[in-house]
Amino acid sequence: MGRKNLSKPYTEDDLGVFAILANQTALAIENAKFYEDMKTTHQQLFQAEKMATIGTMADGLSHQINNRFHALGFIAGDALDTINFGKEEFTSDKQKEILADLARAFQRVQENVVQGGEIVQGLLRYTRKGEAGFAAVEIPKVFKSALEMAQFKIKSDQLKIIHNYDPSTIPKIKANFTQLQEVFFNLIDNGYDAMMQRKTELKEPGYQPTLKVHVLQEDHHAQIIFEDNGMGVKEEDYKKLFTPFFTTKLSSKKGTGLGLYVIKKIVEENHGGHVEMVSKYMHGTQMKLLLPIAIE
Amino acid sequence: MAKLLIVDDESDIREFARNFFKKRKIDVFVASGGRQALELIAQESPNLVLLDVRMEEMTGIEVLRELRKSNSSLKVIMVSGVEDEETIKEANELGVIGYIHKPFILEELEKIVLAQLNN
Repeated sequence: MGRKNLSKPYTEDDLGVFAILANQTALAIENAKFYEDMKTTHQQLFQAEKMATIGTMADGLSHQINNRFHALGFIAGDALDTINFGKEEFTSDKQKEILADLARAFQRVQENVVQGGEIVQGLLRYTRKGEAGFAAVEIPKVFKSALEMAQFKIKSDQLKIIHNYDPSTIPKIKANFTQLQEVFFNLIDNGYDAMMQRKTELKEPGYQPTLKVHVLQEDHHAQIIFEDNGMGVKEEDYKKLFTPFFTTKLSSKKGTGLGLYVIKKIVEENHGGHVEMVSKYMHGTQMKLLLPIAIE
Repeated sequence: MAKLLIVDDESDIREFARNFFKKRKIDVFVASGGRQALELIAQESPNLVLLDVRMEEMTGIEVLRELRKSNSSLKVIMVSGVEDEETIKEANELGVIGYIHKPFILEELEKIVLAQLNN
């Protein structure tokens, strides 16, 4: 840029060069931003395609797996039946003991078949869309029935539930009752697991697992918030949480990894709503559902 | 003896369900597809049909539509793994007496079948 003219800090030429450099830099930044956006869009597209493929695959596979479970259940059921019909023929204590063991084993096969079937049904139901079964639904009723579904696992004396809404004034929402019940069930179930995890891992004295349910009205939508004071989610797990078969639950017995995937699918694709999660590790999680209000 | 027809394209289902119900003094017929089912219905006049929804040759709903052209009173229970509201709606319109979801256990099916056959 040559020697500096002492009376002016920069010459016209300098300024011209700076302007060019500034333009080039701005362009480079624009390009970098564009590239970043493109990368994100590609990732989102890839994710969307992956989800769609998984949805299609899940539909076909679920039927196959369900049929196998069903056949297995019939085989075990008939074997159990054969034992029950013929057990009088066996008189020694040893024989009776063996038959009782076999009967118990076939009984367990049947129970596992039904449980396995429930997992498959859970996946299968929500790979489908449709207007059928949509009606004006009362949120407290859905919550009550979802809680009843969760009763086999949740000990009510361990969990405090606070309803932060007035049931008489909140709007009804346009929803499929059964599907929404599944969403609420999964949210209660996830929240409960997270709270039990915090209780076990952090061992804080006086810790009270608490689930708060808020309902707010926003124009044509109702915002339903499930707020727990559980373990929360680590930042690195955030993005993966809505992917099928991803679970942070410690034991494979505790989670199928379908809960959040199912929630997102039902709320966003089937109901035209929105799901958002805000979570702080070791503090708790808020799951926010935005659902359309029913026009009556 | 009461007659039961089981329509399913899974051979294990046909074999073990037949074994199970035979022990209960029920005359059991099995069909692996829709055409065979319609023929057996015409020949044997069963009292009750267990009809699978998802089958290769003809779907359960197609069998049901065909059946209702000539027989409006035969008791039919649909068996399916799909919780498909439209299928349920059409099956109801075609006059089925029930709709059960796979997988279920034989003891449950026994209660339903015996209640229908004794009715």
